[in-house]
Amino acid sequence: MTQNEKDSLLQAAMDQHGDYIKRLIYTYVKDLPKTEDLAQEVFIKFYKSLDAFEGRSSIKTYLYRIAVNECQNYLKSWHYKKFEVTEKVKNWLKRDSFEVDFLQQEQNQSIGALVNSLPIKYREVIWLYYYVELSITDIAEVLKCSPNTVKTRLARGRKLAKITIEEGDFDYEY
Amino acid sequence: MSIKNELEKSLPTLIELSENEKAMIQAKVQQAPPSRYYWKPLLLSILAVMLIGISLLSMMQSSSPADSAAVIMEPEPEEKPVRAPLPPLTDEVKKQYYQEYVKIIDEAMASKPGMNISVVPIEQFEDDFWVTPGDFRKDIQSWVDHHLATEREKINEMLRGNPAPVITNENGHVTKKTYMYFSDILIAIEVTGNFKTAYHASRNRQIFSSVQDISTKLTEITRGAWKQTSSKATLLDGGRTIEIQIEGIFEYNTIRNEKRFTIEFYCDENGEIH
Repeated sequence: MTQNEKDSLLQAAMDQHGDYIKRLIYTYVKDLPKTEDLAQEVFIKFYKSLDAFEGRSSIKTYLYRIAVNECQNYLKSWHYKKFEVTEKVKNWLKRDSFEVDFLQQEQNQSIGALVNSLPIKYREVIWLYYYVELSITDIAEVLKCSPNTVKTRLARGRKLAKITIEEGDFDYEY
Repeated sequence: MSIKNELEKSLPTLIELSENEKAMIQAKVQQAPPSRYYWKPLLLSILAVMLIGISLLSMMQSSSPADSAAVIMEPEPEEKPVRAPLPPLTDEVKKQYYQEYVKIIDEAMASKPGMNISVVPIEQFEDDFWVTPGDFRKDIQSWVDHHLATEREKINEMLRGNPAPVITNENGHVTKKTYMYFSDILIAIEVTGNFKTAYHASRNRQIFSSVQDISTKLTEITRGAWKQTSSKATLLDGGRTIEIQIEGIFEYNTIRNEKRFTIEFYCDENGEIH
Protein backbone atom coordinates (compact mmCIF):
# COMPACT_ATOMS: atom_id res chain seq x y z
CA MET A 1 0.00 0.00 0.00
CA THR A 2 1.47 3.36 -0.97
CA GLN A 3 1.87 6.21 1.45
CA ASN A 4 -0.81 8.19 -0.38
CA GLU A 5 -3.29 5.32 -0.15
CA LYS A 6 -2.61 4.97 3.55
CA ASP A 7 -3.03 8.69 4.11
CA SER A 8 -6.34 8.68 2.24
CA LEU A 9 -7.59 5.66 4.17
CA LEU A 10 -6.66 7.29 7.46
CA GLN A 11 -8.42 10.51 6.53
CA ALA A 12 -11.52 8.61 5.40
CA ALA A 13 -11.53 6.52 8.58
CA MET A 14 -11.26 9.63 10.75
CA ASP A 15 -14.01 11.43 8.81
CA GLN A 16 -16.41 8.50 8.76
CA HIS A 17 -15.76 6.90 12.12
CA GLY A 18 -13.85 9.44 14.23
CA ASP A 19 -16.80 10.75 16.23
CA TYR A 20 -18.20 7.29 16.83
CA ILE A 21 -14.84 5.83 17.81
CA LYS A 22 -14.30 8.64 20.28
CA ARG A 23 -17.75 8.22 21.81
CA LEU A 24 -17.28 4.49 22.12
CA ILE A 25 -13.93 5.02 23.85
CA TYR A 26 -15.61 7.39 26.27
CA THR A 27 -18.09 4.69 27.28
CA TYR A 28 -15.14 2.59 28.43
CA VAL A 29 -12.88 5.13 30.10
CA LYS A 30 -15.44 7.81 31.11
CA ASP A 31 -12.81 10.52 31.07
CA LEU A 32 -12.56 13.11 28.30
CA PRO A 33 -8.81 13.78 28.25
CA LYS A 34 -8.08 10.05 28.32
CA THR A 35 -10.65 9.55 25.55
CA GLU A 36 -8.76 12.03 23.37
CA ASP A 37 -5.43 10.31 24.03
CA LEU A 38 -6.82 6.88 23.23
CA ALA A 39 -8.63 8.08 20.09
CA GLN A 40 -5.34 9.41 18.74
CA GLU A 41 -3.62 6.18 19.66
CA VAL A 42 -6.28 4.14 17.85
CA PHE A 43 -5.89 6.03 14.58
CA ILE A 44 -2.11 5.98 14.77
CA LYS A 45 -2.16 2.21 15.33
CA PHE A 46 -4.67 1.83 12.54
CA TYR A 47 -2.39 3.71 10.17
CA LYS A 48 0.72 1.81 11.21
CA SER A 49 -0.99 -1.55 10.81
CA LEU A 50 -2.48 -0.86 7.39
CA ASP A 51 0.34 -2.78 5.68
CA ALA A 52 -0.63 -5.85 7.69
CA PHE A 53 -4.36 -5.43 7.01
CA GLU A 54 -5.41 -8.41 4.95
CA GLY A 55 -8.91 -7.29 4.15
CA ARG A 56 -10.57 -10.28 5.79
CA SER A 57 -12.81 -7.90 7.70
CA SER A 58 -14.06 -4.47 6.76
CA ILE A 59 -12.03 -1.37 7.58
CA LYS A 60 -14.77 -0.40 10.02
CA THR A 61 -14.59 -3.69 11.93
CA TYR A 62 -10.80 -3.55 11.91
CA LEU A 63 -10.82 -0.04 13.31
CA TYR A 64 -13.28 -0.88 16.08
CA ARG A 65 -11.23 -3.92 17.01
CA ILE A 66 -8.20 -1.71 17.56
CA ALA A 67 -10.31 0.73 19.59
CA VAL A 68 -11.81 -1.96 21.83
CA ASN A 69 -8.36 -3.50 22.37
CA GLU A 70 -6.91 -0.15 23.37
CA CYS A 71 -9.73 0.49 25.83
CA GLN A 72 -9.55 -2.96 27.35
CA ASN A 73 -5.78 -2.70 27.77
CA TYR A 74 -6.13 0.68 29.41
CA LEU A 75 -8.75 -0.58 31.83
CA LYS A 76 -6.66 -3.60 32.70
CA SER A 77 -3.64 -1.51 33.57
CA TRP A 78 -5.72 0.93 35.57
CA HIS A 79 -7.41 -1.85 37.49
CA TYR A 80 -4.09 -3.52 38.07
CA LYS A 81 -2.74 -0.44 39.81
CA LYS A 82 -5.79 0.17 41.94
CA PHE A 83 -7.05 -3.31 42.57
CA GLU A 84 -5.28 -4.56 45.68
CA VAL A 85 -5.84 -1.83 48.21
CA THR A 86 -9.14 -0.60 46.84
CA GLU A 87 -10.69 -4.05 46.99
CA LYS A 88 -9.70 -4.50 50.60
CA VAL A 89 -10.45 -1.01 51.84
CA LYS A 90 -13.89 -0.97 50.31
CA ASN A 91 -14.84 -3.71 52.77
CA TRP A 92 -13.94 -1.50 55.66
CA LEU A 93 -15.35 1.86 54.67
CA LYS A 94 -18.84 3.24 54.47
CA ARG A 95 -17.71 6.10 52.24
CA ASP A 96 -19.01 4.48 49.06
CA SER A 97 -22.59 5.28 49.87
CA PHE A 98 -22.52 8.83 48.50
CA GLU A 99 -21.08 7.85 45.14
CA VAL A 100 -23.22 4.76 44.85
CA ASP A 101 -26.42 6.62 45.67
CA PHE A 102 -25.51 9.52 43.42
CA LEU A 103 -24.70 7.35 40.46
CA GLN A 104 -27.75 5.21 41.09
CA GLN A 105 -30.02 8.24 40.96
CA GLU A 106 -28.33 9.54 37.83
CA GLN A 107 -28.57 6.16 36.20
CA ASN A 108 -32.25 5.84 36.90
CA GLN A 109 -32.91 8.76 34.62
CA SER A 110 -32.52 7.17 31.21
CA ILE A 111 -31.95 3.95 29.34
CA GLY A 112 -28.63 5.24 28.04
CA ALA A 113 -27.41 5.89 31.55
CA LEU A 114 -28.73 2.51 32.64
CA VAL A 115 -26.75 0.84 29.84
CA ASN A 116 -23.64 2.70 30.96
CA SER A 117 -23.99 1.29 34.45
CA LEU A 118 -23.81 -2.28 33.15
CA PRO A 119 -20.65 -4.40 33.39
CA ILE A 120 -18.39 -3.81 30.41
CA LYS A 121 -19.12 -7.09 28.68
CA TYR A 122 -22.80 -6.20 28.33
CA ARG A 123 -22.28 -2.49 27.80
CA GLU A 124 -19.86 -2.89 24.91
CA VAL A 125 -22.10 -5.18 22.90
CA ILE A 126 -25.06 -2.83 23.33
CA TRP A 127 -23.03 0.18 22.18
CA LEU A 128 -21.51 -1.71 19.28
CA TYR A 129 -24.86 -3.09 18.17
CA TYR A 130 -27.25 -0.19 18.70
CA TYR A 131 -24.96 2.79 18.41
CA VAL A 132 -22.16 1.80 16.05
CA GLU A 133 -24.62 -0.46 14.21
CA LEU A 134 -22.26 -3.37 13.71
CA SER A 135 -23.74 -6.77 12.91
CA ILE A 136 -23.51 -9.68 15.35
CA THR A 137 -20.79 -11.23 13.18
CA ASP A 138 -18.79 -8.02 13.13
CA ILE A 139 -19.12 -7.57 16.88
CA ALA A 140 -17.86 -11.12 17.34
CA GLU A 141 -14.89 -10.21 15.15
CA VAL A 142 -14.24 -7.00 17.09
CA LEU A 143 -14.46 -8.71 20.49
CA LYS A 144 -12.76 -11.92 19.36
CA CYS A 145 -15.55 -14.16 20.60
CA SER A 146 -18.23 -16.29 18.98
CA PRO A 147 -21.43 -14.82 17.52
CA ASN A 148 -23.38 -16.88 20.04
CA THR A 149 -21.54 -15.21 22.90
CA VAL A 150 -22.42 -11.83 21.44
CA LYS A 151 -26.09 -12.80 21.16
CA THR A 152 -26.17 -14.04 24.73
CA ARG A 153 -24.51 -10.89 26.08
CA LEU A 154 -26.79 -8.70 24.02
CA ALA A 155 -29.89 -10.47 25.28
CA ARG A 156 -28.69 -10.33 28.87
CA GLY A 157 -27.61 -6.68 28.54
CA ARG A 158 -30.96 -5.70 27.08
CA LYS A 159 -32.72 -7.39 29.91
CA LEU A 160 -30.58 -5.68 32.53
CA ALA A 161 -31.02 -2.29 30.86
CA LYS A 162 -34.75 -2.93 30.49
CA ILE A 163 -34.59 -2.39 26.73
CA THR A 164 -37.66 -3.80 25.10
CA ILE A 165 -37.28 -4.86 21.52
CA GLU A 166 -40.21 -5.58 19.31
CA GLU A 167 -40.40 -9.10 18.01
CA GLY A 168 -38.44 -9.56 14.80
CA ASP A 169 -36.26 -6.54 15.36
CA PHE A 170 -33.39 -8.72 16.41
CA ASP A 171 -34.00 -12.05 14.71
CA TYR A 172 -32.60 -11.13 11.34
CA GLU A 173 -29.10 -11.22 12.75
CA TYR A 174 -29.32 -14.95 13.58
CA MET B 1 -37.92 5.40 21.16
CA SER B 2 -34.57 5.22 19.40
CA ILE B 3 -32.01 3.36 21.45
CA LYS B 4 -29.27 4.99 19.45
CA ASN B 5 -30.51 8.45 20.47
CA GLU B 6 -30.91 7.36 24.07
CA LEU B 7 -27.33 6.13 24.13
CA GLU B 8 -26.06 9.32 22.55
CA LYS B 9 -27.97 11.40 25.09
CA SER B 10 -26.20 9.55 27.91
CA LEU B 11 -22.85 11.01 26.85
CA PRO B 12 -21.92 14.02 29.01
CA THR B 13 -21.27 16.32 26.08
CA LEU B 14 -21.07 16.28 22.32
CA ILE B 15 -17.95 14.22 21.74
CA GLU B 16 -16.40 14.66 18.31
CA LEU B 17 -13.06 14.06 16.70
CA SER B 18 -12.19 17.67 15.94
CA GLU B 19 -10.32 18.87 12.87
CA ASN B 20 -7.44 19.81 15.18
CA GLU B 21 -7.25 16.27 16.49
CA LYS B 22 -7.33 14.88 12.95
CA ALA B 23 -4.52 17.20 11.97
CA MET B 24 -2.54 16.15 15.02
CA ILE B 25 -2.99 12.48 14.15
CA GLN B 26 -1.92 13.12 10.56
CA ALA B 27 1.15 14.98 11.83
CA LYS B 28 2.04 12.17 14.24
CA VAL B 29 1.82 9.43 11.63
CA GLN B 30 3.97 11.47 9.27
CA GLN B 31 6.61 11.80 11.99
CA ALA B 32 6.74 8.04 12.51
CA PRO B 33 9.80 6.49 10.85
CA PRO B 34 9.01 4.77 7.54
CA SER B 35 8.90 0.98 7.46
CA ARG B 36 12.26 -0.59 6.82
CA TYR B 37 11.23 -3.50 4.66
CA TYR B 38 14.81 -4.48 3.95
CA TRP B 39 15.19 -5.40 7.63
CA LYS B 40 12.54 -8.05 7.37
CA PRO B 41 14.67 -10.77 5.73
CA LEU B 42 17.45 -10.09 8.22
CA LEU B 43 15.07 -10.29 11.18
CA LEU B 44 13.59 -13.51 9.84
CA SER B 45 17.07 -15.00 9.50
CA ILE B 46 17.95 -14.07 13.07
CA LEU B 47 14.67 -15.53 14.28
CA ALA B 48 15.32 -18.76 12.38
CA VAL B 49 18.82 -19.08 13.87
CA MET B 50 17.40 -18.50 17.35
CA LEU B 51 14.72 -21.15 16.83
CA ILE B 52 17.28 -23.68 15.63
CA GLY B 53 19.46 -22.85 18.64
CA ILE B 54 16.57 -23.31 21.03
CA SER B 55 15.58 -26.67 19.54
CA LEU B 56 19.19 -27.89 19.66
CA LEU B 57 19.41 -26.79 23.28
CA SER B 58 16.27 -28.67 24.20
CA MET B 59 17.61 -31.80 22.43
CA MET B 60 20.83 -31.54 24.43
CA GLN B 61 18.87 -31.13 27.64
CA SER B 62 16.70 -34.15 26.95
CA SER B 63 19.82 -36.29 26.34
CA SER B 64 21.31 -35.38 29.73
CA PRO B 65 18.44 -35.22 32.21
CA ALA B 66 20.71 -34.79 35.20
CA ASP B 67 21.79 -31.39 33.96
CA SER B 68 18.40 -30.20 32.85
CA ALA B 69 17.44 -28.59 36.14
CA ALA B 70 20.50 -26.39 35.98
CA VAL B 71 19.75 -25.16 32.46
CA ILE B 72 16.04 -24.35 32.61
CA MET B 73 15.65 -20.91 34.06
CA GLU B 74 12.04 -20.41 35.10
CA PRO B 75 11.34 -16.80 36.02
CA GLU B 76 10.84 -16.50 39.73
CA PRO B 77 7.42 -15.17 40.65
CA GLU B 78 7.67 -11.73 42.14
CA GLU B 79 7.63 -12.03 45.88
CA LYS B 80 5.18 -9.92 47.79
CA PRO B 81 5.30 -9.31 51.50
CA VAL B 82 2.89 -11.82 52.94
CA ARG B 83 1.07 -10.93 56.08
CA ALA B 84 0.72 -13.70 58.57
CA PRO B 85 -2.94 -14.55 59.05
CA LEU B 86 -4.30 -13.43 62.36
CA PRO B 87 -5.22 -16.11 64.87
CA PRO B 88 -8.92 -16.18 65.79
CA LEU B 89 -9.65 -13.02 67.74
CA THR B 90 -11.67 -12.86 70.91
CA ASP B 91 -14.57 -10.43 71.04
CA GLU B 92 -12.60 -8.26 73.42
CA VAL B 93 -9.63 -7.98 71.04
CA LYS B 94 -11.98 -7.28 68.12
CA LYS B 95 -13.53 -4.45 70.08
CA GLN B 96 -10.10 -3.06 70.87
CA TYR B 97 -8.99 -3.34 67.22
CA TYR B 98 -12.19 -1.69 66.06
CA GLN B 99 -11.60 1.29 68.34
CA GLU B 100 -8.11 1.59 66.85
CA TYR B 101 -9.59 1.45 63.35
CA VAL B 102 -11.99 4.29 64.14
CA LYS B 103 -9.11 6.37 65.49
CA ILE B 104 -7.04 5.71 62.36
CA ILE B 105 -9.94 6.72 60.12
CA ASP B 106 -10.42 9.94 62.10
CA GLU B 107 -6.75 10.76 61.63
CA ALA B 108 -6.97 9.99 57.91
CA MET B 109 -9.97 12.31 57.56
CA ALA B 110 -8.08 15.06 59.33
CA SER B 111 -5.37 14.76 56.69
CA LYS B 112 -7.88 15.77 54.02
CA PRO B 113 -10.68 17.98 55.29
CA GLY B 114 -13.88 17.30 53.44
CA MET B 115 -13.13 13.64 52.87
CA ASN B 116 -15.94 11.78 54.57
CA ILE B 117 -15.08 8.23 55.42
CA SER B 118 -16.11 5.96 58.26
CA VAL B 119 -15.65 2.34 59.23
CA VAL B 120 -18.49 -0.08 58.60
CA PRO B 121 -20.23 -1.19 61.84
CA ILE B 122 -18.34 -3.83 63.80
CA GLU B 123 -21.14 -6.33 63.20
CA GLN B 124 -20.45 -6.16 59.47
CA PHE B 125 -16.80 -7.13 59.86
CA GLU B 126 -16.32 -10.59 58.48
CA ASP B 127 -13.60 -12.91 59.79
CA ASP B 128 -11.19 -12.19 56.94
CA PHE B 129 -11.54 -8.40 57.31
CA TRP B 130 -9.63 -8.30 60.58
CA VAL B 131 -6.02 -7.15 60.41
CA THR B 132 -3.68 -5.66 62.98
CA PRO B 133 -4.16 -1.92 63.55
CA GLY B 134 -0.68 -1.40 62.05
CA ASP B 135 -1.66 -3.10 58.79
CA PHE B 136 -4.99 -1.29 58.81
CA ARG B 137 -3.16 2.04 59.10
CA LYS B 138 -0.83 1.17 56.20
CA ASP B 139 -3.70 0.14 53.93
CA ILE B 140 -5.81 3.18 54.77
CA GLN B 141 -2.86 5.50 54.24
CA SER B 142 -2.16 3.88 50.91
CA TRP B 143 -5.81 4.28 49.94
CA VAL B 144 -5.90 7.94 51.04
CA ASP B 145 -2.68 8.69 49.10
CA HIS B 146 -4.18 7.09 46.04
CA HIS B 147 -7.47 8.96 46.51
CA LEU B 148 -5.71 12.33 46.81
CA ALA B 149 -3.46 11.64 43.83
CA THR B 150 -6.47 10.63 41.76
CA GLU B 151 -8.37 13.74 42.88
CA ARG B 152 -5.52 16.01 41.78
CA GLU B 153 -5.07 14.12 38.53
CA LYS B 154 -8.79 14.13 37.63
CA ILE B 155 -9.28 17.81 38.41
CA ASN B 156 -6.14 18.80 36.53
CA GLU B 157 -7.18 16.70 33.56
CA MET B 158 -10.60 18.35 33.48
CA LEU B 159 -9.12 21.83 33.79
CA ARG B 160 -6.62 21.12 31.03
CA GLY B 161 -9.19 19.46 28.77
CA ASN B 162 -11.92 22.05 29.33
CA PRO B 163 -10.14 25.31 30.05
CA ALA B 164 -12.58 27.99 31.16
CA PRO B 165 -11.65 31.66 31.01
CA VAL B 166 -11.29 33.62 34.22
CA ILE B 167 -14.04 36.22 33.95
CA THR B 168 -14.04 39.70 35.44
CA ASN B 169 -17.44 41.42 35.49
CA GLU B 170 -18.25 45.14 35.39
CA ASN B 171 -18.02 45.36 39.20
CA GLY B 172 -14.53 43.93 39.19
CA HIS B 173 -15.60 40.56 40.60
CA VAL B 174 -13.50 37.72 39.25
CA THR B 175 -14.90 34.24 38.57
CA LYS B 176 -12.88 31.10 38.06
CA LYS B 177 -14.02 27.52 37.53
CA THR B 178 -12.80 24.42 39.30
CA TYR B 179 -14.13 20.98 40.20
CA MET B 180 -15.11 19.17 43.36
CA TYR B 181 -14.18 15.52 43.40
CA PHE B 182 -16.29 12.82 44.99
CA SER B 183 -14.55 9.58 44.11
CA ASP B 184 -15.66 8.91 40.54
CA ILE B 185 -17.76 12.05 40.25
CA LEU B 186 -16.57 15.51 39.32
CA ILE B 187 -18.85 18.49 39.94
CA ALA B 188 -17.97 21.77 38.23
CA ILE B 189 -18.18 24.85 40.43
CA GLU B 190 -17.44 28.53 39.89
CA VAL B 191 -15.74 30.65 42.53
CA THR B 192 -16.18 34.43 42.44
CA GLY B 193 -14.46 37.07 44.52
CA ASN B 194 -14.00 40.80 44.65
CA PHE B 195 -10.23 41.15 44.46
CA LYS B 196 -8.20 44.26 45.05
CA THR B 197 -4.66 44.65 43.85
CA ALA B 198 -2.10 47.33 44.62
CA TYR B 199 1.22 48.41 43.25
CA HIS B 200 4.13 47.22 45.35
CA ALA B 201 7.00 49.64 44.84
CA SER B 202 9.89 47.48 46.03
CA ARG B 203 8.77 44.60 43.84
CA ASN B 204 7.81 46.89 41.00
CA ARG B 205 4.60 44.99 40.30
CA GLN B 206 0.97 44.61 41.29
CA ILE B 207 0.08 42.20 44.08
CA PHE B 208 -3.17 41.21 45.80
CA SER B 209 -4.16 43.45 48.66
CA SER B 210 -7.53 41.91 49.62
CA VAL B 211 -10.45 39.74 48.57
CA GLN B 212 -14.07 40.05 49.65
CA ASP B 213 -17.49 38.67 48.79
CA ILE B 214 -16.32 35.16 47.99
CA SER B 215 -19.20 33.19 46.53
CA THR B 216 -19.60 29.88 44.75
CA LYS B 217 -22.14 28.32 42.43
CA LEU B 218 -22.47 25.05 40.54
CA THR B 219 -22.15 25.40 36.79
CA GLU B 220 -24.71 22.67 36.13
CA ILE B 221 -27.74 23.64 38.17
CA THR B 222 -29.58 20.46 37.28
CA ARG B 223 -26.99 18.31 38.96
CA GLY B 224 -27.41 18.76 42.69
CA ALA B 225 -27.37 21.80 44.94
CA TRP B 226 -24.47 23.47 46.68
CA LYS B 227 -24.56 25.62 49.79
CA GLN B 228 -21.38 27.40 50.76
CA THR B 229 -20.87 27.49 54.52
CA SER B 230 -17.52 29.25 54.85
CA SER B 231 -14.46 30.52 53.04
CA LYS B 232 -10.95 31.46 54.08
CA ALA B 233 -8.42 33.32 51.96
CA THR B 234 -4.66 33.19 52.42
CA LEU B 235 -2.08 35.35 50.66
CA LEU B 236 0.85 33.35 49.31
CA ASP B 237 3.96 33.92 47.31
CA GLY B 238 4.48 37.51 48.40
CA GLY B 239 0.93 38.49 47.45
CA ARG B 240 1.05 37.08 43.93
CA THR B 241 -1.30 34.21 44.81
CA ILE B 242 -4.46 33.99 46.89
CA GLU B 243 -5.49 30.55 48.04
CA ILE B 244 -9.15 30.32 48.94
CA GLN B 245 -10.40 27.41 50.97
CA ILE B 246 -14.13 26.88 50.67
CA GLU B 247 -16.43 24.66 52.68
CA GLY B 248 -19.97 23.75 51.90
CA ILE B 249 -22.61 21.09 51.55
CA PHE B 250 -23.41 19.38 48.29
CA GLU B 251 -26.85 17.81 48.07
CA TYR B 252 -28.30 15.66 45.38
CA ASN B 253 -31.92 14.68 46.03
CA THR B 254 -31.63 13.00 49.41
CA ILE B 255 -27.87 12.65 49.44
CA ARG B 256 -25.83 15.14 51.42
CA ASN B 257 -22.07 15.46 51.52
CA GLU B 258 -19.85 18.00 53.21
CA LYS B 259 -16.96 19.15 51.07
CA ARG B 260 -13.93 21.37 51.43
CA PHE B 261 -11.78 22.38 48.49
CA THR B 262 -9.23 25.03 47.60
CA ILE B 263 -8.70 27.19 44.55
CA GLU B 264 -5.88 29.61 43.73
CA PHE B 265 -6.08 32.95 41.95
CA TYR B 266 -2.94 34.54 40.53
CA CYS B 267 -2.13 38.23 40.06
CA ASP B 268 0.29 39.09 37.27
CA GLU B 269 2.63 42.07 37.35
CA ASN B 270 0.02 44.29 35.69
CA GLY B 271 -2.73 43.37 38.13
CA GLU B 272 -4.53 40.96 35.79
CA ILE B 273 -6.09 38.09 37.71
CA HIS B 274 -5.96 34.51 36.44
